[in-house]
Amino acid sequence: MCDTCGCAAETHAHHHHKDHDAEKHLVKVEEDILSENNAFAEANRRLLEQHKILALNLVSSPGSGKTTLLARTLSSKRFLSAVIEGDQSTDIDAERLRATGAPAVQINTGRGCHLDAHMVGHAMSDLGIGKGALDGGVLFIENVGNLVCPAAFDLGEAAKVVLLSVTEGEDKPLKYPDMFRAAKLMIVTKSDLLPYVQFDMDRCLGYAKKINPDIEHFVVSSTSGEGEDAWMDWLDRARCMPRNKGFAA
Amino acid sequence: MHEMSLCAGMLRIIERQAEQDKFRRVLTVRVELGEYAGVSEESLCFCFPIMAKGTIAEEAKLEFTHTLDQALRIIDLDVV
Ligand SMILES: Nc1nc2c(ncn2[C@@H]2O[C@H](COP(=O)(O)OP(=O)(O)OP(=O)(O)O)[C@@H](O)[C@H]2O)c(=O)[nH]1
Ligand SMILES: [Mg+2]
Repeated sequence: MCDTCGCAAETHAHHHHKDHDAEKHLVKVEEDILSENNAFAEANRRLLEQHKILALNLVSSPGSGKTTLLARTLSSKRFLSAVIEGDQSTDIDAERLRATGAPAVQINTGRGCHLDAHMVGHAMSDLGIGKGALDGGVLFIENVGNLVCPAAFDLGEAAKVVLLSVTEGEDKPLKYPDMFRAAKLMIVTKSDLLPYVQFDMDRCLGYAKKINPDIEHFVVSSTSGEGEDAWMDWLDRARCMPRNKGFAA
Repeated sequence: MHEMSLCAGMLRIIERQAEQDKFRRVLTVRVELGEYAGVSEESLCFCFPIMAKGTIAEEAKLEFTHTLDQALRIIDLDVV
């Protein structure tokens, strides 16, 4: 049994009794299928709020530039930061980010296609969150590269931030609406590549607003540095917002 | 493929209910599924029997009520 949440390796009870005499009847359940995840997420959120930590859940398709943007953000040393990295395997990304001097914990999801709140709770505890580490700082959670599944899983973050690189095409908000609906901020990345690809920025923003009228956005390049100040300022504002009911940056 | 972990979550709810209400087999699982839950009926139906093999719900059929919100709930069960 673990100290963080009291979980144990779970086993499904196997019942194979014959039940000839049993009567078919109805049992009311009325339970949210994500209730377990949501309970862990709420516990994470409470702990983060108590320690005035801004947690952001970064989501995108594989290779949109999440780790590169994080490396630049952490290297600026503007904020006290830590990272939880999610990938199916390897700790390449956590290694890359540790090189900036910030603490980073890698979660490998194996076959899993998303992080869940239970895994994140353990990683938070590995980072010393709740015991004084990172108080008043920023926790970046880089989710598994996947524009579909992570949309459904609350991790306890203050906001989801969706990255979309210009090489992916401007139609992604329409094709993967769940993720763009769940996100508070969209970062269009790799803007230095705009001259080489067909990417209609206005159309992209229009699609994103159509799916989620409240979504904010930045255009950034981790190569040229375009847009990075706006992103850092946004982080600064978000850090100072009350986060109990989300925040309005 | 997050339907796999959703099905695992459904089975945990069902097993917990079985302990409480002492039933031994599940015939039907009624699910409320919202348009914006980010889950497809087809993939739940595909994953559930795979995940349920060897549990009290291995022969259960899924029945869906569709809503326009983000609902993703087990409403009730037919059991013996
Ligand atoms: N030209 C250009 N390339 C970039 C930029 N940002 C990232 N890249 C490149 O894009 C590739 C993927 O970047 P990552 O930061 O690893 O992307 P990621 O989203 O973390 O990828 P996963 O964690 O595997 O999902 C790398 O080769 C980066 O060098 C950018 O702003 N401009
Ligand atoms: Mg990465």
